[in-house]
Order: sequence, then C-alpha cells, then structure tokens
Amino acid sequence: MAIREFSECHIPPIVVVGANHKTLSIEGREHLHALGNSEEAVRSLARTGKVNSLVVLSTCNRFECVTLADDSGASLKAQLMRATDGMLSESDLRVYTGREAITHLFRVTSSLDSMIVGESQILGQVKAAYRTAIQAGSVDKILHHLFQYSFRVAKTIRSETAVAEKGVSVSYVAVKLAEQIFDGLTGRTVLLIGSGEMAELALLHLRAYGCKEILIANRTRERAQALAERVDGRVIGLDEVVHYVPQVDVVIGSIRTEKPILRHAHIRNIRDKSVFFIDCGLPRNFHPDIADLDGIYLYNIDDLQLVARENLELRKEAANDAELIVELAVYRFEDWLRKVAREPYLLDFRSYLASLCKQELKNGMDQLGAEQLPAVQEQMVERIVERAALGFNRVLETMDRPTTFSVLGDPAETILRED
Amino acid sequence: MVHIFSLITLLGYTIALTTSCILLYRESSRGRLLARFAFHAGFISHILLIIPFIRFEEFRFLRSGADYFFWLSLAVALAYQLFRQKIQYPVLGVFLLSATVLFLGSSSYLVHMAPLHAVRQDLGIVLSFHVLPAIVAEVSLCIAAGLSAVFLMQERRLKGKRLLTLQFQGPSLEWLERGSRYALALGFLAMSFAIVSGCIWAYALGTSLLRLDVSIIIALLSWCALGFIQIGKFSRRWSARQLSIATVISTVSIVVAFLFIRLLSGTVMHGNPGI
Repeated sequence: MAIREFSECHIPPIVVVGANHKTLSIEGREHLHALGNSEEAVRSLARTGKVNSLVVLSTCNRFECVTLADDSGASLKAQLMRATDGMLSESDLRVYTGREAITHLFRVTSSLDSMIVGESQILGQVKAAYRTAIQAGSVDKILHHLFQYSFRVAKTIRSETAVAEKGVSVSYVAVKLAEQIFDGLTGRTVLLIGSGEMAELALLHLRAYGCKEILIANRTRERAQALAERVDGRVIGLDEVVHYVPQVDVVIGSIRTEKPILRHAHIRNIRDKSVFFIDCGLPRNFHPDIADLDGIYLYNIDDLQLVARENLELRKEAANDAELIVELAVYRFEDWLRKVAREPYLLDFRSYLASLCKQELKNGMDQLGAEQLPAVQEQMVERIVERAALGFNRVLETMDRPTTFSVLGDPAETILRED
Repeated sequence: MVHIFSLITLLGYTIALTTSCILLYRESSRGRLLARFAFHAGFISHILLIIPFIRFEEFRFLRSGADYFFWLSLAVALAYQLFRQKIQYPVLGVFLLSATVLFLGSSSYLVHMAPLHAVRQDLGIVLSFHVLPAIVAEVSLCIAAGLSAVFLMQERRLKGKRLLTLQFQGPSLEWLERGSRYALALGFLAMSFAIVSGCIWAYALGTSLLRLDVSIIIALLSWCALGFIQIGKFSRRWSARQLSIATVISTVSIVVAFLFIRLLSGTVMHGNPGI
C-alpha cells in the first residue's frame, strides 16, 4: 500500500470569471447576459469551458461564473469571449482566484458588492443560480460547501450588522414615513394624481403594505383606466380630486401642471385626520403652504431622496463591520479547504500504517509461535494506527501554518514527544 | 425600614427623572441605561413599601386619606413601566416620573407611618368608589400628557423633515393621538365619578361638600382641565395637535398649582378630620 502522489488528490483553486457593474458597462454586460443561466446553458458552458463544476450567476448587474480550475479560469474566460462573438475583449472579463475569489463570492452574496449596498435581492438570485447549477449537475463537494457557507455569511451579516436596516429606495422611504403617521397601512385609501414611474412605484409599495382602496386621477382617462386595472383601483376625474382629498389617507401627485393643483384653501377643512402628501411632480403639484395645516404632512421627491441618501450612507458605514465578518469567514473556509485537501493523505497513511503493522506482527508471531497473543496484538495495532494518524494530522496542520511552525519546532519531534 | 425604602424609591425616581431630562437634549446609550436602572431600583423599592400596609392593621389600604398620594404615585409609576417598552422616548419619562416623584413626595405615609385620620369601617366601600376613580383619572391625565408630548415632538420631526426621521422606532402619530384621546375620556369619566362619590361620602358623614385641601383642589382642577379638553375636541373640533398642546399645558398648569398649594399650605392633608 503506497501513499498517493500529490497531484492525485489536489484540489484546484476556486475561480470567479465574469463582469459586474463596477468592471463593465451595461452594453458589455448585455452580451454576457444573453448567454443565460438555465440548466442547459450551465451544462454547455461547463463542457465548452472545460470545467467540471460551475455555478453561473446572472443578474442585471453581474454575470459571473464560479468554478474550480487549475488554469486560473483561462479556458472558461476564452470560452466566454468566444460565446459573445468576440464582442468582449480580455480586459472586459475579470478573474478572481483563490482567496480573492472566495472573498468576492462572500461579498456578492452578502450584498456588499451590490450597486445598493445591503439590498436583499442578490441573496435570492445567488440561491437561484446555485439551485440551477445543482439541477444541471455541475456542483461538486467544494462548490456546494462554498455556496452553503456564503449563505450563512450573508445571514450573519444581515442579522448582526445594520447593513440592511434602513431603506434606500424612495418608495420604501415613503412607506416608512406613512407608517410613522398612520397606525398601520392596512385598509388605507391612496389617491394617485397623474402617472409616472416613481409615483407608481410608491403606489405599488403602499398597496403591498396593505393599502386597500386606490383612486387614480389622470388627464388621460385611458391611461388612468389601464393603471387602475393593473392595481385594482378606481378612476376618478381630475376635477373631483379636491372633493376626494378629505376622504383619503395618502395622496401621491405626479402630474405635469403649470401651477399647483392643491392649495391651502382646498384642504383647510381637514381637521380631525392626518393626510400624507407625496409630491413627485415637477413643477410641484401641491403648494408648499398646505404643510402649515395641522395633520398635513407634505414630502416632495427631494425630501424622500435626501432620507434615502442618508440611509445609504449609514449602510455604507455598517458595511465596514460586515467586511470583518467576511474576512473571518474566508479564513475559516480556507481552513476547511485545507482539511479536505488533507483527507486523502490521511486515509492513505492510515491504511499504509495498518498494513505495515500487521505485516510486522505476523512476522513476529511466526517467530514467537504463541497462540493466545493474536487478540491482544490486534488491539495493539489499532491503537498504534489511531495514535499515528492523529500525530500525522498534527504534523500536517503544523505544516499548513508556517507562522506557528517555528514555534512548535520540528514536526517529527512533536510526534515523538506526544507518543 | 419604611424610611430606607422610601428614600431609595425617591432617589431612584429622581435620578431616572434627571437622566430623562438630560436625554431630551443629549441622547446617549449610557444615559438610557442609567435611567432604566434607576427607575427599576425605585420601582422595586416602591412595591416593597406596600408590605407594611399588608402586615399592619393600622396601615391597611385606604384607611388614611393621606395615603391617596402614595397609591397615586405607584399607579403612575406602573403606567410608566407599561408604556416605557412601547414608547422609548425620554419625554414620556420626564412627564410620568415627575408626576410620580411629586405624588410620592406628597404622601404622608412616608413621614408619619401611621394613619392620620382613620375613617369608619362601614364607609370603606364608599371610600374605594371615591379614591380609585380619582387615582384612575389622575393617572389617565398624566398618561395623556406624556403621549401628547411625544406626539408633539414626533410631529415636529416629521413636519420639519429632519434627517434620520426614519430612525424613530416608536408608535405612529395616530396611535399616540388615539391613546391620548382615550386616556382623556377615561380620565374625565373617572374624575366625574370620583366627585359624585366624594359628595355622597361627605353627605353621609354630614360634613361640608367642599373643603379646600390639596387633593380636592387638584381633583377639581383636573376635572375642569379634562372637561375643557373634551369640549375643545367635540364642539370646537380641535385637531390632534391642538388637543396635544391643550393637554400638555393643562397638565403642567395643574402640576404648578399643586406645587404652589403644597408650598403655601404646608401640612394640609386629605382626609376626614371629623372622625
């Protein structure tokens, strides 16, 4: 029984090949995105890129392939360039290897590498990519553990740091403000005046949080009707807005108008309730003097963006704590990788030692000729093997950490001392 | 022992109150911790002060009219303990703790440790119907004032569009306004009931209906304030902001009046000297 060669049980380094919003423009990312990340696409890319294991993460901000490759991902990179019909140059694709790759994946999964730090979508996208790769049969033991570990890191960061605490989208800020004014949004009435991406987003957010009745007023009744059908709302005339305002809780204005459509005089009769006005229009839809009335809370798009920006800054500060968690996680994962790399050697050494001892004992027994000794000797052999294997493991661990090597002295000497 | 506990109670509440006042202007986690610790120390000691009431016949619940303030202070402290978890806002502590300290300091129980004016046993039920609603009414007014103060501060933050507005982790404006409104309504009904039952009690004893001691004056002032706010709410259709301002101003005025009367009167105690 011989101990196998190093090359036989060597683990190739983890490699990440691809591009993201920081390294490549949207036009470039579009070419990569076209490759897809379906089961078939993953299988095909693994085959042509000459890699055994592969997970393809494809989102609107990134296209990255996580794999194990001895050639630092050169063949996969070449395949990506070929697959995009030469639309991408070598410098367009970024390659991370070893520790850099592990750190990058952990940062991506934890949303530290996202365009909006702390956003929650990315974790779901990484999980989906991982599931697809499992279905495609391209996830081996190492990648499996890498991704599972990255999910744990992301969860720890979300629960132990403030990286995902504060909302950074304008519509989210609007909902949070509404929650500070009203005791729950369930069953509230929202009036949308006009249309516009930002206003519709805020409306959808409010509806998701429980707002029940939605009134829509627009200059073009057809557009209002189309939106009302989408959000299960009701269309009212633009001239009826003043009449409906006292009956609603949230008013979103996003209409193109020369002068404000709501003034102090229109709503001064609202006394015993609160109304939250969100002005997304330019020029402004609501005259600023309405904010002087009791129970009227007026926020325009700049106000909401200011809060969102402030929250984003807070998230960035919290990201520093998250980076420390990532650093520690990378160290632990590398430790696990080292253990995995050691396993075959250890098993070979155990078998080798066992056969060696048995051989020696057989020789000895032949010489002694005693009949009662075999059972005792068998136990003795097991003990020797167990202790020798443990000793060998310690030697390997010592060798893995060059900084502690000098402190512990010669590994062989350590075994002798322990035994 | 009573004196030691009363000292710890007053000291604990005073430290918690002072820290809450500082927290209004300068937020710090250490200050919050100190306020919480001091309040808990005071509150536990306050509860321990009840033991003599249970053990000794002469200290039994409501045997002395002067102990009204002791029970009132305990009720306000209990209300603060209940609301503290939901509204982590120092202004609530400022209002409710100052009321607690003020009422506890006015309790003759801590000073005399003996019933000042024992009442007839057969009037115990009437006394309970008189004192308990009065305590409920005063506590309701204190809670309404605390909630109104939080409402005004939170409303100012939202109207002023201050940055970090979203950091506020407390109840919504609507919840604060509703809580204050309910407390005021309950307080008004309870105080009306206390006044009626007090009149019946005095009539049964054959004494005058109106005597000018601290509790009666404060109770009447509170009833007027509560009634004034109810009128404002229902006939003048006050907004939540106007209602909150009226509540805070009324409560502060009553507290100032209370202090003023105590300073002037010296030893005026609530009770029935005729028996």
